[in-house]
Amino acid sequence: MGIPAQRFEPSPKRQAAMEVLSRPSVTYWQDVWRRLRKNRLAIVGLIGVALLILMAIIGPYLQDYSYYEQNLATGKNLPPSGEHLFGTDDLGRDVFVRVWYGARISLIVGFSAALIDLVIGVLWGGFAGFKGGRIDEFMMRIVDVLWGLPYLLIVILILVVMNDPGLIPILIALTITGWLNMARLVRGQILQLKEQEFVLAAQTLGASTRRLMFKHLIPNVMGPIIVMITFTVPTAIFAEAFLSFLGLGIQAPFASWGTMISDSLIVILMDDWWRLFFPAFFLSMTLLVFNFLGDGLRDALDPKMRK
Amino acid sequence: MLHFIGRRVVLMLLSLWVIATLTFVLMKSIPGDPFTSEKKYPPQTIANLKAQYGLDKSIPEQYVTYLKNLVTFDLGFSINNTSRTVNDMLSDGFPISAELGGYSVFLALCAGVLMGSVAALWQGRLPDYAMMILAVIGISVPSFVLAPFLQKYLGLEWRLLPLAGWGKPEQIILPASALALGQVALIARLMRSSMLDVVTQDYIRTARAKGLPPWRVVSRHTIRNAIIPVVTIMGPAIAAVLTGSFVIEKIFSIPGMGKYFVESITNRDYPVIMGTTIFYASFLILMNLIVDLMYGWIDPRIKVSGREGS
Repeated sequence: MGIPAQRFEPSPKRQAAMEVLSRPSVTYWQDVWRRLRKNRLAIVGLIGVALLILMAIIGPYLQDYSYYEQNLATGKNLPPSGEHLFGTDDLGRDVFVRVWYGARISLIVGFSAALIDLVIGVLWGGFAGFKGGRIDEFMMRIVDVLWGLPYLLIVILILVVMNDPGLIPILIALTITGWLNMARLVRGQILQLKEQEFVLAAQTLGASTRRLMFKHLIPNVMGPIIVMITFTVPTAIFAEAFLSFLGLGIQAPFASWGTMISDSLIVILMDDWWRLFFPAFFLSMTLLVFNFLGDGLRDALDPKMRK
Repeated sequence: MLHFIGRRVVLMLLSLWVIATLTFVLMKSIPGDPFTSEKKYPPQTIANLKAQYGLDKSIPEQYVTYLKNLVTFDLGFSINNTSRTVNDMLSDGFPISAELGGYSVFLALCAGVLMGSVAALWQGRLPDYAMMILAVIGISVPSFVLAPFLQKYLGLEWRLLPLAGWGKPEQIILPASALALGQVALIARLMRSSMLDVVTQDYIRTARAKGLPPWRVVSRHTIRNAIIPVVTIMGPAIAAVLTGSFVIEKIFSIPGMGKYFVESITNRDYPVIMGTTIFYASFLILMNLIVDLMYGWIDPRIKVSGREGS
C-alpha cells in the first residue's frame, strides 16, 4: 500500500563490481602473524628469543676475555663491576662471557635437537600415517614401546656408556627418544588429512607419492609441527642443563649453564651470589620466553583450540 | 576393558624387555670388564672372579642368566663396594626417596588443584593473576635452580627451616617444595582450563537451578568433573619428580636412591647405574599403567581402547 511499485524492481547485476575484492586476500601465514602480533605474551616471547640469539652470537665478544681465560692471581670471585659485568668465578674467569657462551651451547643443543627430532619424526610418522595398515601398525608399535621408556633415564644411560661428555653425545642421547612425540603427532594428522578431497584430487591428477607427501600433506601439518618444535627447544635446553649439572654434559673449560650452576652450589652458602644467579636467571628466562612463544604460536596457528 | 588392560600389560612387558636388553647391550659394549683395574691381579684370581660372576660364559648365556636374575629381582653387585648389592642400596635408599617423592606428588596435587580451582573461580581477578605468575615461575625455574635459592634464604638467611639433612619432619619441607613447584604449576594450569570448561556445562546450570548452595556446586559438581584431566598428567608428574629427586637429594644431602644413583654416575659404577636404571624404569612404567587404568576407572565416559583417541 504505502510502498511504491518501483521499489520492487530487481537491482541491476553489476558483474564487474562483484568480482572486485573489497579487501586484500590474507594468506594463512599472514593471518597467523596477525593473530600472533595481538598476543602480548607471545611478542614478549618472540623478542626474548631474538635477544637471546643476538646475545649468544655477540655476547662473548662484548668483553675482552675468553670463556676459558683464568686469572688466579688477582681476579678470583670478584663481584660484578664495570670491568666484569657479572663478576668472576673461583678461577678468575669472566662470568658475563661464560654466561653468553653457555647461551650458545644451550641454543645449539635446543635447535639441533628440535631439528633432528623434526626430520626423523616427520619421516617416520608421515610414512606410517600415509601407508596405513600393517606398516603403520608395526611402525607405531615400535613408537609405543619406546614411548614407555623414561626419557631422562635412557639419556643418562647412553651418556654414561658413551663415556665422552660433549655436545655430540648429548645430542645423540636427546634425540634417540626425542622424535617419538613428533612421529605420533605427524602420523595422527596425516591419517586424518589423507582422507580429504584435495588429496584424492591430487591423486586423480597423477601426483606422485612424494609430491603428495611434501606438497600437499606436510604443509598442512606445518602448524602443529611448528608448535611442537617451539616446545622441544626448551625441553632440550632443560635436559642439557640437567645433564651438565649431573656432570654428564658439557665439561670445563667449556661453559654450560648447568655446569655453572652446579659449580656454584657450594658458593651460594657464602656471598658470591653472582656466580649462581646469572646462569640460573638466564636459564629460567630462556625456558620462559620459549614457553611464551610456544603458547602464543599454538593459539595463533590453531584458532579452534583457543578458549 | 579386559582387552584394554591385557594390551597395556603386554606393551608394558615389551617396554621392560626393551630396557633390560638395551641395558645389557650397553653394559657389554663398554670396553674392558669390571676387573680391569690398576691393580694387577694374578690371572687365576681374575678367572675365578669371572667364574664367580658368570662372566666366563658366552654372551647369549650371560644374557639368559641376566634376564633370569632380573625376573627374580636380583640386580647385581656394586663394583666400588663389592660387599653391597644393588638390592641393598635399593632397600636402603628407596624408602627415603619414595617418602620424599610421595610428599612432593601429594603436595603438587593438592596445591595444584586448589590453586587452579581458585584461579578459575576468580577468573580475571587477583587470585587468577597470582596463580598465573606462579605458573610462569613454575614452568621456567628448574628445581635444581630453585633449591639453592630456597636453601640460601629460608635456610641460611632467615633460619626458618633446616638447610639440609633427613630424618626430622621439618627437613622434608624444602626439598619437597623444590621438587613440587614445577608440577604445581602444570597441574594448576591444567585444572584452571578444565574448570573453565566445566562451569559452562549444562549440568552445572542444572545444579545451580535446583538451588544448591554455590560451594556445593563447586565441590560436588565442578571440581569432581574438572579433576579428571589432571589424572592424565600424574604419570609424567611422577616421572619428573623422580628424575628431579636425583639432584634434589644431592643438593639437600638426603640419603635416598638419587644420591646412590648420582654417586654411581660420578664413579662410573656401571652395575649400580644399570640396576638402578632398570629399577626406576620398571617403577615408572608400572606407575604409568596404574595411572592409565585409573583414568578409565575414574571417568566411565571414556571408552578405554588400545587405540590412540586423538
